[in-house]
Amino acid sequence: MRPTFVRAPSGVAAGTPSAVLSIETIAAARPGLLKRLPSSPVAMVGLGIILFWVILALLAPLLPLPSPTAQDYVAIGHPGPSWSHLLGVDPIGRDTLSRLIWGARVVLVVAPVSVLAAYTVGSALGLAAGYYPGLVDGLISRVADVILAFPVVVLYVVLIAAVGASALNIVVAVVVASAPAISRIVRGLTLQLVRQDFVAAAHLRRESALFILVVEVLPNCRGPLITDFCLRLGYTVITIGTLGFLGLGIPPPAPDWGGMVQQATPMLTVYPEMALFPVLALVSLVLGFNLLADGLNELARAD
Amino acid sequence: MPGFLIRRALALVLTFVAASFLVFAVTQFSPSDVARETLGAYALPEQVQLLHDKLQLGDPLVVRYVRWAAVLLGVRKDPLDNPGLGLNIVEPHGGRFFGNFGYSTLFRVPVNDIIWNRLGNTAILAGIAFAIIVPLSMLLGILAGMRPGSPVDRLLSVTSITMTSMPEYAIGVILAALFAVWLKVLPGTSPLAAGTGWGLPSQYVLPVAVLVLYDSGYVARMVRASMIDVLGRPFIRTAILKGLSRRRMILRHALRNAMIAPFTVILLQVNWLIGGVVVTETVFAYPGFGQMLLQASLFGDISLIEAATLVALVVAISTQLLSDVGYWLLDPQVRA
Repeated sequence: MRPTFVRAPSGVAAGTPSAVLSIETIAAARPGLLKRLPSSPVAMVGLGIILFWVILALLAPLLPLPSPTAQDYVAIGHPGPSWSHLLGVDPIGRDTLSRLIWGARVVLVVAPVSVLAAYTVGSALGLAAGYYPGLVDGLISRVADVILAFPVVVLYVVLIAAVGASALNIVVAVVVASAPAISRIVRGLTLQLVRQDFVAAAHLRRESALFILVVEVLPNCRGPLITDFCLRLGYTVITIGTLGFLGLGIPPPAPDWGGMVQQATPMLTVYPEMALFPVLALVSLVLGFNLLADGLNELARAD
Repeated sequence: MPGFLIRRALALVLTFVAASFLVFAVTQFSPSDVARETLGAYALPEQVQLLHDKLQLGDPLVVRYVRWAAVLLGVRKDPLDNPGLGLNIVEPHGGRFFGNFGYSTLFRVPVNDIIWNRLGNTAILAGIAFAIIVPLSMLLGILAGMRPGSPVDRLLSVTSITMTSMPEYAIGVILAALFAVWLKVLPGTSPLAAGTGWGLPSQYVLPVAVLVLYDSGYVARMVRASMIDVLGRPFIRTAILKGLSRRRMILRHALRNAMIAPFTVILLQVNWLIGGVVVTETVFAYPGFGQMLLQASLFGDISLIEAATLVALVVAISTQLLSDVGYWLLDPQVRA
């Protein structure tokens, strides 16, 4: 349908068999979805919002901001926006703008790391379940069923409350809660892919199961997974925020958007903007991920 | 059909057992234990150790799980309900009965005395929300799906993608700031004191609005997708070619078929709502099931956590079963 341009990466002599094989596998697996991104305005708006926060987070140490944990006791009396604190201060006098920007660093590290970890575990389980029907598939699918039966928030609350709130434990909880859903998607894709000719060819070449799964099957799952990855990133940002709001997030005094909302909520009737700024930051980032996912989805469907 | 349902039901029972063991195992990571919580923060380590030994808390995990399950099934008495311990904990419903969830170390009453009351409060909240979500999202989804690309459709897409990007507490904070602080038309919290019944009806408006806004966008999108899918099928073209009016075609042919797929989604929303109420109840200080679960988890009240997650699972899983049955009844193709 669409012409596929195969371009040899620089530094690899085009025409050598190994180079051609790897390029073709990549070209077939990634049908220029990311390259055609600029043609979707929705996706570009989403990407723009995400980049805005990424750049702010990267620049955080260079910006002329007060420390996110420094308390300005004088400002507590009038915590609204002022020239010295552009977005005001929180109930104990810490600069809201600074905490938002430093908090972006936390969420932009914890969310992708958790989702990547969940994808690693989920894909491995899904590939195994799809490739080995019978005992392995049965075991993995039943365990996934049990975890998926829980209402997600209930699972998070019970898990984090038991093991304690920390960045690492949030990653673990996201893996436990998301890997079953990812493994289900990958298992379904694997079941379809292993019946195809190129997998049969790999069997004939006597490739190992690991090679077939990682080199032949996994790259072909990429298309449907890219959209899910973006959606899951947005959802994980929500989850981290929710945990913070429930008092189960990144422990204080580290700046955490959900935690900021939690600390500001008792003051909501007096200083609503204190809670509104972190809420807007969080919503904008999630919206960025969701718009990107929506745009990618439309591009993928247009094929 | 019966074979399919029986297999499904058996799988569900197994899921219960596995899930309750999972929760039991997870709560063991918690630094506090039943002995410490029962005696309180001022008990001496020796006293705690004594109770710890009397309750046999040092036994292997599986042994303690079986013991807990035996109390739940009414085979054994709750080990805390023992005059020999001198704790004055007496189960008023008798020692052995089915569904004995034990004693809540957080609220200092039997779990059964607190959990059903809280569940009732939540059922009111979630029930009102659900009664609004279903018709609203169906109507919006059908309107948008009838003419994809129309202004109604565009508006729905933009609204629903914005709403799905908002966590419940974000919607809650924004609504509360808007209506309770700036416009001052609604109360910002829903404190239902025990036994006061309905309280102020206006106290329900904001929590219900949060749940409705959070959920209906997603359901409406599902209805829309299903509607578009059905309208593209050959039998609809036949209906148009045979000269049916558009209204008749949509009401008689499209709607019924377009409702099959969203039916499952709508029932699975119950699962979402359970999660949604945990956050919403915390925002508005509503004394419901979700807030109780959060308090129990933060405190490490194992009996209450176990009971609450099991009840949540029963609700979630039985709606799954219900959606399976409904799907089976609605779609003749599955029955074949």
